[in-house]
Formats: sequence, structure tokens, C-alpha cells
Amino acid sequence: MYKVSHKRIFEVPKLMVGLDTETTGLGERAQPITYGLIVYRNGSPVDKIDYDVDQDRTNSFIKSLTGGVPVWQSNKTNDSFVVYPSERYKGSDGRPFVEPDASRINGWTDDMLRSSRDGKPILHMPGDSFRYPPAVPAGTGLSRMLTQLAHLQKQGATFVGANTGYDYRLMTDLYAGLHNGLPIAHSGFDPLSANNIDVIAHDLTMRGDPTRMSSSGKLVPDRRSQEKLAIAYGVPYGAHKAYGDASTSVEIAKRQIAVNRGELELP
Amino acid sequence: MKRSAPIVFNSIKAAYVEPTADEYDEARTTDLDPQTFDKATYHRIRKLGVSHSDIINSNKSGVSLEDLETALENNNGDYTKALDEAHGYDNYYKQQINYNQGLSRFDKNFAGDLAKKFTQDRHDKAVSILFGHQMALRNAPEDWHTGWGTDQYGVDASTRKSGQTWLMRQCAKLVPSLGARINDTAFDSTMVQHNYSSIDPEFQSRYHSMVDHLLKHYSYSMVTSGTLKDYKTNLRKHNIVLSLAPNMFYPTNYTPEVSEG
Repeated sequence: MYKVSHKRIFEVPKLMVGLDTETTGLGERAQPITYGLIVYRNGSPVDKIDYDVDQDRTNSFIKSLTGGVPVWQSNKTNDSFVVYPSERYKGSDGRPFVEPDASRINGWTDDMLRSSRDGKPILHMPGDSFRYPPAVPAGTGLSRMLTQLAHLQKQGATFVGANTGYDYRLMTDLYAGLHNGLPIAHSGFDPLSANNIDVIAHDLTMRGDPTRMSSSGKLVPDRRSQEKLAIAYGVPYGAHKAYGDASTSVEIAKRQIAVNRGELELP
Repeated sequence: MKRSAPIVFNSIKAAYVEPTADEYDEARTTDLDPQTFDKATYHRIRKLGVSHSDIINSNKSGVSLEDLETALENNNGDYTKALDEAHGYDNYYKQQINYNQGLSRFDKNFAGDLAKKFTQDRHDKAVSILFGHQMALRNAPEDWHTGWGTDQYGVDASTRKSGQTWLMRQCAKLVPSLGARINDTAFDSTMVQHNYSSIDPEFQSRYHSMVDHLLKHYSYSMVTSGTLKDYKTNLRKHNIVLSLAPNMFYPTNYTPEVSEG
């Protein structure tokens, strides 16, 4: 299984990468629809290097106004983009790509995905700070994400997320499906050997692996969701936007490490 | 007019440097793969304060420009530390090559067959289609873009055209003969591949279909690479295709820093 640490972590990794996917649902046929990735070096988010040339031109491009909201522009380190899911996994029962339950959580609908596919810059939700550029197909999006992750794994990155195993499983299944069953590690990124911090699992470890009684009467781990952790640690919540949630996870991890070091109280 | 310095964490401040034509030439000839040499990457590294001779030494030691740049960013521009880190990336690539060589015979044949099946002719044709698409968008009269260009994305025509020229140069790295056509000004609307009037349910616009074929081709070429040089060259070509991928409608990932113009 994926290498999720069950030890308390006391040092902020030099290179931390928040990652998250928003998906069409939670079931077997779920696929990523947005990927988000944010890079932190020495505990701080990395912005692009300021080359100090043509800055006004760059800005006019990045901040080009479409209804007052700029279109997201990826840089060499941070990325966020939409993919149009593969019909191959949709089935022929006429159900939408984005299951209603998932749509209620992440705000995406089939209509939004189609508009994005057809070239519209999509504003995910009112009040968002950027519009997504047009969607790319599922296979292209997966290649883009895995290439970025491989590039970061090569540098010794620690990947941070909430339920990262779920994101990895989706990517692993999709990669195999699109590449005749090849293991995902052939992409250059190997989730099995990646260093990971799953903030939800880390929280359980920090609290001594508490349990609770489930509705079916079984003892289950008393997990706190990413949203609950964000509230507990006073971290801005990404509200189920891939890029925002990726950032939230890293900010939670930083505070968890501070707790382990005795610099903060466990909330 | 320059704006005031932005508040940027972990940012390296770059200096103004304009390399000479001779320096570019030497950097190209000593590069990992002169055909896919990227002037803009070389220029950015120089702006980070690295001398031409240090870059040449790095090239000669087998480090790719893009790996040197990444390692410089990780080491606050310190060349010696960066070169050391960049050589460490080779260990990662070697592990990858070893892992790929451990593929089952079935998987290896599958990857090898696919890499071979995508003949040079098919490869060149796919790249030419992407090149033609970007050229047509760049050369189209302004009113043709109504509904596709400025209206939706807020990108001024001059920036859009620079971006499309950059994408054409990216294509020419994969098929060098295309380089001779970068300055063509003719507009041929039949080369545009994003006509969605007959969109099929698999989202296979011709543009995306060509990108998909090329990505798979280079991905399988990486899987079957037996040497570091081959692996890194195929990775670079794979990344060139990825740079083309999201730009069917407009150059979404273009900034002046990537321009080789």
C-alpha cells in the first residue's frame, strides 16, 4: 500500500507538495475532474521566479480580465486544471459523469465540464479568484499530473493531502485503463515509494488512534475530515476546489508538525 | 513602467542578461539533445546568475538544462550545489530505467510495439497538424477570432500571437523541418482543429487526438529507453508535447519567459 507515515512528524520537509483531485463521484467509476498541486519549499509556498522583465506584459496576460476574474495560468511549480472525463468508464446507463452527491460537494456539473471542453474559461463558483482554462481529455490530464509528480518525486518531495490513498488509487486505475494495464510507476511517478503525509491519518496518530462506535455498531477510527481539521487548526479551507484543498492540506500539516514540536497545542 | 517588487516567498531574483548568438550556439551544440535545445531555458539560467562556461560544463557532464534550472531554484541559485543535486536526479532516472527493464515480456512488447507502430511518418504528420493549427490561429484575421479569442479569454492579440509562435517553435523541436515555416503568414482555416460541430462522445478532437498519440509515443519511448541520454531526451520531448496539450483554443500556459523569440 501507499507509504503513509503512522509516526508523528517533527520536521517540516524541505520540499512539500500539496495535491488533491476533485472527482466525478466516490464509487468504482469515479474519475478526476480537476487536479490541484501546490509546492512549498522550506515551509513556504513557491511562487514563480521574478525575472523582472516584461513584467507588465506578463501581468496583463495573467490578469487578463474576463468578467473581472483572471484565467488561471499554470507556472512551473503550481498547477490546477480541469479534465474532461473519459467516456470509457462512464457506462451506458445514461447517468451523468458527475454524480449528484459529488456535485453537491464539489460544485461541478456535466454542463460545466462540457462548456470547459468546448473552450469556455470556467468560473468554478461565484467568488472564485480565477477561471479554469479549457479542459483537456482525461489521458492528457493524467499525463500532465503524473509528469509533474515525477518531476517533484525526483527532487525528494513529500506529498501532502487528505486521503491521498484515494487520489492515488484513482490515478493508478486510470493509468492502467489507458495504458493496457501498465503499472503507474512506468509513468515516472511511483505512489508506492513516494513520501506522503496524509493529514487525516497523521491526526489519528497524534491523538493516539482514537475510535468511535459506527452506526452499525462497529468500532471505527475516529477520523476528522479535512474540513474539521482546517477549522480546528484555523486554516483557510479549500472548499473542495483541488488547488485550494491541496494548499489546505499543507497548511494543516505544518501546524500538526508545530504541535508535535510543542510549539502549538493540539486542537 | 516597472511595478514594485512583488512579495514572493522563496523567490530568486533574476538579473538582466542578454546572451550572444555564439553563446547560444555553443549551448545548443553541447546540449543533451541539440534538436530540442531550448533557448529560453538557457536564457533563464543565465538570468539566475550562472555563467556561460558553467552551463557548458554542466551540459558536458550530461545534465539537462531543465534539470539544472530546477536544481538552481532548489538551491537559491548556487551553481555548485545545484549541479550536485542535478546529478542526483540521474539516480532517479537510472532507477526508472532499471524498473522499466524489469517489465514483463508482455508489457515490454506492448510498449515497444506501440513505440514502433507510431512510425516517423505518423509522428511527423501528427506534429505538423498541431503546428498547422497554431499557425492558422496565429495568422487568422482578427474578426475570425470573435468568440474564441479576446472575447472569452481577455488575451490581447499580440500576446496570443506570441504564444502561438512559441507553440509552433515547440513543434519544430520535434520536427525540425517545420522551423522554415514559422514566419509564414498565410491563413488556411482548414488547418484549425477545434471545430466542435461534429464533436464525438470520446472528446477526440483531432488536436487532442494528435496530442494523445504523441504523449503515448514518448511515454512508451521512455519505458523502452535503455540509456540515460535516451530517457532524458524522450522525457524532454514528452514535456514538449505536454506544453502543446492545453493550448487548442488559446495559449493558456504562455508567458514571455518561455518565449525563444
